[in-house]
Amino acid sequence: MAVDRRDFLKGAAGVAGVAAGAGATTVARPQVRRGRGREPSETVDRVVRTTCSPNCTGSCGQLAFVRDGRIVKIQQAADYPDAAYNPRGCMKGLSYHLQLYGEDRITTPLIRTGERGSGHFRKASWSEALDRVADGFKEIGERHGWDSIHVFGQVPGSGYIQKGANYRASAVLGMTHGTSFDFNGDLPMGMPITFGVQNAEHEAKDWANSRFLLLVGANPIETRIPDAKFLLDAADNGARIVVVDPTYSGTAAKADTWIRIRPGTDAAFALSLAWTILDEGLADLDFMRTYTDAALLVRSDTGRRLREADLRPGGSPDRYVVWDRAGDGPVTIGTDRLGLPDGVDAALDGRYEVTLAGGGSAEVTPGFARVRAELGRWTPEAAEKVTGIDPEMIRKLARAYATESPAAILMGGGSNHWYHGDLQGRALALCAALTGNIGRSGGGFSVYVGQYKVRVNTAPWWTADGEAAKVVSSIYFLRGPTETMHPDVPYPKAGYKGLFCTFANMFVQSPDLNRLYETLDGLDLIVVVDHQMTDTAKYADVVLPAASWYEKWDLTATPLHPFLQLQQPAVEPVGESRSELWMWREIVRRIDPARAEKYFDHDELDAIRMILEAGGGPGGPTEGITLDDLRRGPVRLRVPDPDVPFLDQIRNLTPFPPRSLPAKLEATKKFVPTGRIEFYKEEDRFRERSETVPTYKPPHDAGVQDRRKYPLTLLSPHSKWRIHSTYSNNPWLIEIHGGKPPVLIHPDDAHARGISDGDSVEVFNDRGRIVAWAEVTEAVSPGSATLFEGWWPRFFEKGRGVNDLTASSVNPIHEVHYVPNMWCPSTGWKDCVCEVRRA
Amino acid sequence: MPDTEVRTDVVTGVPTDRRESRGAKRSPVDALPPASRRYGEIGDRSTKPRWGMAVDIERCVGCWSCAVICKSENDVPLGMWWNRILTRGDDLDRPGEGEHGHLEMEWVPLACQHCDDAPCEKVCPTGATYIDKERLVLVNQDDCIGCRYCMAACPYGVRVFNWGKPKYPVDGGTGMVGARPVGTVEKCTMCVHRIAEDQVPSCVWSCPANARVFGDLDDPDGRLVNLLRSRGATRLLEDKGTRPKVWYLQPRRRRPL
Repeated sequence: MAVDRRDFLKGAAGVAGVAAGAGATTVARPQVRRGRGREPSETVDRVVRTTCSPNCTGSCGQLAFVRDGRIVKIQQAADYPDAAYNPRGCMKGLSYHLQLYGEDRITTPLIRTGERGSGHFRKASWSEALDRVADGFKEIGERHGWDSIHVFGQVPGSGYIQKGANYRASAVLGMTHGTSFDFNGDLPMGMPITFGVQNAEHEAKDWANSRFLLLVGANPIETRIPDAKFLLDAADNGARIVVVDPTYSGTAAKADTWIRIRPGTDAAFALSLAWTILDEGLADLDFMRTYTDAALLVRSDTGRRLREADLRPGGSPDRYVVWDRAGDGPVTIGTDRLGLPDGVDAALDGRYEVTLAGGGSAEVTPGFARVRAELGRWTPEAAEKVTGIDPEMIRKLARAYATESPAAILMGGGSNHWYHGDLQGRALALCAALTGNIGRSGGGFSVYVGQYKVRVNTAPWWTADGEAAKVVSSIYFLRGPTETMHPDVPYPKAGYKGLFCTFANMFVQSPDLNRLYETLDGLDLIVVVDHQMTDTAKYADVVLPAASWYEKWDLTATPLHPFLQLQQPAVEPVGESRSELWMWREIVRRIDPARAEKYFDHDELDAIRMILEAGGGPGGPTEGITLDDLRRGPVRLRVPDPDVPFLDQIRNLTPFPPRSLPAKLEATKKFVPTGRIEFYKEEDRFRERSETVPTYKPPHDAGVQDRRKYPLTLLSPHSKWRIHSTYSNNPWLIEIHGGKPPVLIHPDDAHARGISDGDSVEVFNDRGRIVAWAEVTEAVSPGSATLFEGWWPRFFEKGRGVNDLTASSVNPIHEVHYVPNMWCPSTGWKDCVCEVRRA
Repeated sequence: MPDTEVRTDVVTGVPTDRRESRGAKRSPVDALPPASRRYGEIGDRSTKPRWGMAVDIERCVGCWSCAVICKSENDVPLGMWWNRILTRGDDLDRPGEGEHGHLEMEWVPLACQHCDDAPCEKVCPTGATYIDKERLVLVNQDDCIGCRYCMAACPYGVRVFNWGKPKYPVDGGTGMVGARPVGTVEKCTMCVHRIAEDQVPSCVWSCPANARVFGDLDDPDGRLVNLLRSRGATRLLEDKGTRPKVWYLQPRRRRPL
């Protein structure tokens, strides 16, 4: 192996101050003489098994080593009964004790003394701070209506109890709760549109069962570190890995083939892949007939599906029609079961005449014919003009993907975080369906984004006697209602007057920050709960110090693995910090003692038991799982092993969709009225916008802002060094990456702008500007600039971070239905143009 | 069956048995939950083990978990790393142009190689650096005079020096071993304090990609020796003749479309 000294020096230079420990001011601990260099370990008081849960989907079991009441080491518990998962946890989780005891820890309640955002606060007692919150909310509630208070808390899937307390309090007091999955741009709108579900991904362990892995805009090696090994296991087992990404990522480094794609053109790529599969006779058309809407006839005159009611008086409007080639005539089919009646040979192509019930006739064509017609526009040669991908590469990829089976598509945030992320998802889902890769281990179309998933029955804890909180998509909080907003959105009549922000650095990590601050400036009271003094906390009127997850109880799960786990307090909360449940109990008590007694006379363990019990019936998600079991370690939920979505649909011909908790099935069933995987959407808005079938549309922001002024696409991927903005201030991680936000730019673009590596550069568009440092690298695509999201503002020369520039545009397709976190506007972080110049 | 009652503090919710140190000072290994303890056990070894390690370049995802847990376990001060991850390509996490004009990148974790023929040991004027009975290269900080000959001699650049008073990100430092005195050289000990309790080094435990395998190089039937035999295993700077006990497993052959 030829690592030479130069390599070593280079590596050393990448680490800030490797050799120099200069500048030390404190000796924090007596030095120990180390005779012979072989002393035994220092002792501890105890080791507590708990679960790491920032907003990262890891949900990793960790051990907290406690000495003298403080955590001195965090290390993976490595106690999953399924050894494939051991150890689970990354360098960020292993350094969390630095967050607990770091200089940014909030230790007391704070009340603002200066201007908002000035950072001037005075310490307050809990009773004063809670009185202030309760009085303020009461005043808003009585004057404007309680619904004008927005309660925000990120990703309830990562903590059902404390985050659930937000929902419970909202239900009890009538406040509106905000969404997060969609607000985060993680809601893959292609999933509800196509499959009728919120999302449905394979357990990460199942990657190892694939023969072929196609990753699109996904970088699990760097941003899903606990699951990265399953990609490597797949390679070990002989799978081929292909990565499609504008950027040469850590995952590209592990791939057999990396295909560079122009940012925001994934749909065109997927359509050309689908076209090639079809064109080369590699498609599984029986799968399309059995499980999808491919054979259902669509009227050429109206663009609506042909119903039984169209054919004969008294016919059902919920029965659809296929063209039977055997009998050369229409056959109606119901929505109670997938598949086709025996003996029916359903056409997927052609034009047919049917006689209508009211007299006259109509031309009809199978929905798949319309899909095929669209695909015909996307030959590899045609797609190349959009994607920049060599047509021959598409052909090779199509052959390998269709024949090396089972094959999985892993779509990541890089592909989903676009205004038209739904189209990219729909086109990729089409590839998976065309190859029959749905509902089988090692296959699938999985979108890995967000720890959104509610896997247990949270109803008894998240509601007030079954009455759920009103939930409004947070994008409407940020920018107000849109003209196309769905009427079911319970947007407050008086608009927003108050905010209770928890588990979020919302004022840095929301899109289109300048617009958000306009909303904030109209609020009478901003309360922020956190354990770190973020810029969000700094903008609050009242700051309440939260206990970290090493200091309180919770119950947690994730989409990435099927284990239910506890968070158990390892140490007492630092300073006066307290759990969110405790805060709500105290706030509600001040507002209405009777309701506090009724709904908040519970502690965390009561709440956990309520949830376990509610899902504990036969076949329930928590059947047979007790608190005692969870105190001992992780417990696998009652799901298949490996956990693969749609098994019931594929094996038993049960109609789509399976239920997405916590919504009722009736609410999500209307997403796919045919009960099938839908590649043809007949609803008016899809037809008005020419999006009835999977298609490609250019990035949105390029049409909003002047492309001539802003020729670069601004990408803001997740960083491996942070979970969004958490760990931004972690001293060990800063030592590794250096703490200077880089703006990655291709040498061609840098040269054209006179930019050299390390230059201070301004990144700007009509919405905002920041100043950071250029890093010139071939890793990124020409025509793009990359600024990782999640840096705290303190690291920039100017500006708050990439969200000074990102957009809050709402795609009206996302407003066709409204089910919170399931069909609602998903943010397009990466759909953003900019220019870069030397500062 | 009802759950065991958990007594918690009414305000903080913390179990009352955790409110303060109970004074029962235990070894961190004895305090582990049973499943975790089993996970970390070294297992089989020969009667006279010669400890070594394999690092799989294919499986390394460049996450620095091994480096961070090393820092935590060993209370390594700010500005110093016993273990770090080099990027072969360009700067941290960036690719460089490879043989065929394609971009390429690999991560190479680097800590003390625990050489059987260790240049650092040879140049140490006081014998502070020594090779112990299980063939680990260790430093006796009592005898280290801070001359740093060993740092100059080490071809891997893995030793660090305490120039001043150590600085920690949190009061009291971290981890399971005491801090080293100012003016001495320190480096990876292969977590010798953990080996003594039959537990693998922390970097091995904490690699989320299972890229590290620890074991006895003199146990011909052991997992480590079998792994080295079955995979292309090399050592860093073989030509220096240092005979490291850390082996690197080479990446798999790619199958491009």
